Amino acid sequence: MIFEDELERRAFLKKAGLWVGGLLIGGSLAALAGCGEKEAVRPAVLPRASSPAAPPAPAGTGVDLAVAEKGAPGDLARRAVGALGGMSTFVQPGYTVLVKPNASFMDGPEAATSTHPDVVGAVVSMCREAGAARVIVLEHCLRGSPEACLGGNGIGAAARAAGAQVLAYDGGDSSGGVLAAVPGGTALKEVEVYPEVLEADLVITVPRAKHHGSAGLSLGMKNFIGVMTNMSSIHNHDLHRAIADLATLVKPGLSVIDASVILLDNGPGGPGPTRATETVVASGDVVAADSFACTLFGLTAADVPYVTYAGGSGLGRYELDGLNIEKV
Amino acid sequence: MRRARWLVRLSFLALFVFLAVETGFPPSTSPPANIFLKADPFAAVVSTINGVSASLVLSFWPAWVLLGLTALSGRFFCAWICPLGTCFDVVGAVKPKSLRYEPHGREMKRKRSESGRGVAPARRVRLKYFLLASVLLLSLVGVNLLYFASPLVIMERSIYLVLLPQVPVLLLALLALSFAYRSRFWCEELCPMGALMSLVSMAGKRLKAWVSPLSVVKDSGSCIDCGACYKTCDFGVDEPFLKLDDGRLRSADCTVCGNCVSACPAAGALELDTFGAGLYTSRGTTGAKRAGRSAGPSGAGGEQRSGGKVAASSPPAGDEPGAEGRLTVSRGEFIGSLGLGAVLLAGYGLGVRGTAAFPLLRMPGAQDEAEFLARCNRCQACTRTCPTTCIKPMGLEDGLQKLWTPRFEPRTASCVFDQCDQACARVCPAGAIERQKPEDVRIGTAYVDRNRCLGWKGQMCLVCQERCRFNAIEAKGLRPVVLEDKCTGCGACEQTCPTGTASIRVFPVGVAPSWPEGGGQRRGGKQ
Repeated sequence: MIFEDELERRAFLKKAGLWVGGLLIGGSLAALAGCGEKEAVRPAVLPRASSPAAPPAPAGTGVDLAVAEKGAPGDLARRAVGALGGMSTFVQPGYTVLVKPNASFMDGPEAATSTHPDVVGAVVSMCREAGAARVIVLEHCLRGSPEACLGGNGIGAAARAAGAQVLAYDGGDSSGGVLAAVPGGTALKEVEVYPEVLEADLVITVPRAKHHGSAGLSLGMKNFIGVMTNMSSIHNHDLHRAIADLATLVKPGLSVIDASVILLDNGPGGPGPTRATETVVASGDVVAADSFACTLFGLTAADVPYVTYAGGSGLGRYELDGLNIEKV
Repeated sequence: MRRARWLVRLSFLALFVFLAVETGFPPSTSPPANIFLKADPFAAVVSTINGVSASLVLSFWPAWVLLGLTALSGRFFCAWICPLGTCFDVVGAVKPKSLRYEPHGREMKRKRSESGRGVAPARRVRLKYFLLASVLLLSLVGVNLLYFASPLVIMERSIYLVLLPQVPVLLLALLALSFAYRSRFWCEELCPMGALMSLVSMAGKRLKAWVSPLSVVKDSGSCIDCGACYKTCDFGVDEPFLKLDDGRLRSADCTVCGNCVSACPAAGALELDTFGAGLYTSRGTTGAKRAGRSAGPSGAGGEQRSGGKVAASSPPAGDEPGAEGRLTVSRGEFIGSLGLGAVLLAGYGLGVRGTAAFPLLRMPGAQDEAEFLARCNRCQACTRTCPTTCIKPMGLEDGLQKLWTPRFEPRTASCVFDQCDQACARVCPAGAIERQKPEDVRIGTAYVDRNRCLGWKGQMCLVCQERCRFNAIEAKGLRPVVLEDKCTGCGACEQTCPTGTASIRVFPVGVAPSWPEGGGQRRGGKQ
């Protein structure tokens, strides 16, 4: 056959067998070790690490909710937060602030699917001016790669220019989360979120007010689905209850809703009809801000169940009657 | 000398690994990440046989250049460049002495098969020509076996597998054999690419040393007939040394590695030349240094002519080594090879149909399936470069024929062909994937399983609609409906669907889903 003599063949087979066998065993051991490792990396259930006390209604002005109208989006954001007493009411020097915009879609601000980059920029700048040590802009992108999304809607450049660190994740990527218990969660008992959300001293939601196919409207609380590492899993729960539960975990301290242009239909990704309302709503009470934003669509909190659920859980007030609302 | 060759081949190995790693996203363009695969003459010939476009054949220009150089210098690629060969050499250098086979027997024997256990008998040396012929013949019928047969493809894929990370079984097996057996057994006995180069180098065997970029030249005046040259030869080249009177060594398997020159005890008897000018002359322990050898193309090369005739009387008749490029095949061997081929083909064909219950999707711009299988050399460059990792190598789930072919798996990740500039098509060295205009891309079509979809059950979801950047999913209330004319099959919907098994899945163009229980509507365009 191939080998010259029996001895050579045997010696060869013996050696080859030994080496191949050794390699196979070694390889499978390594593979097993690898599997074991993967198994072990199950995130621990964490309670909310620090609970950044959402500052109670700012003492300075006594204004519960500010509505800035008519003007450029960035300017509107500054005026609205200014009416609440300025960012220093919310940000202490040295804070780590997490800013969560709507930046999942590639279209520019005129499509009203993402927050206006100037609004994000203004909020980040205000945080820095108030002495925040670190501002993180975090988004979990939906359509296309994070680079394409944040490049297309302009939020990546605006946030960086204003001094923020941008963390953008691909919509299909559900890794990197920590499992957190949702205290008092009615539908969502535990959820995996990006750790930065739990570690931040203050979380600010900076959504675009827009129509949403399944939730009705996408506002400040709905925005937090994007801090979940496995976003789509929320739909395995009662969506509205889960959104309200999630808000109790994230505990945003400030909501700045960009309604400079609002998307009226075919949300959240569009394209759909829009209306220029030239409004930015700001409030330390995220429920009140969402409730007010409903009115821009001709609706009330009763039409958007998660707003009333969140009100019921004590996160804020959705009845607008007793609020001190200032238009600027 | 030996140090110089280590430096050169380790540099090439490093460059190879670097380029393989650089095939990540975005793939390197200068130098092109796939330059080594484009320099694979074996792949180039196979692609040409496949009858592909002139532009693809031209794109293999590095391979054609390499073949031209091979005609001038022999298999220098194997000793100086081939990354797999370098790996074998490293194995050879580190393995314990007890496992080292002496390259040649102690005694000076002309018949290679008797010359020592370290040298393959001529019959085995010829095996590579059979392999070459088999691969080339099979490629005529659209079966591409490059992935088992080309050292460059094996190396390339192995690196990607390590990076994935997976275990490069084939490479480990070859290295193990190299460790336990002769280090370069693959190169001398099996490598079909080496066989191709051996054949090509024989085409240029009459060329003089002064036209050859690299050659071994003998000066019989200084030679002491000790046989150190062919005893040290990794490739068992012996008779050419014996036959050689003066001038350039002509052998199909000579890799111009220069080991013989290093080993030569007679000063000036052997010399490594470039275009007739001496690069490195045997220093030796006896004899005088040959004078004026490095002055240029001296007459030494020209005087050789009758060397073959002189030596022709000495080798034993009937065992003309295959290394000379002549194939002598016995009837038994021929029938045996036919039988083996039939068995292999049958085994290969058994898996053709495949029983896998999944829609097989390829990346955008992939050729039709039969053509794809013929062209794809399973190098995994596309798998490696894909920025979303949506391309995965197939296992045996759809038959042996599709083993290691890249498959698009939307549940793992979606395809961003409109954003990555079709990196997979750009790195594909074999023309299995061609770039398409983004607006022409149609990987498949998504269908909703209405029995399982949350929205169709009345729950609030519509994640698929949120994710679709082509606006190919319309929300009818809470129910997603796919607009077939807009769907590109990118798979973002399938990837993100929150149900256990995706309730919206991409099917290849022209394939309709068969949901369990006739489940759900086929699609949603009309109600």
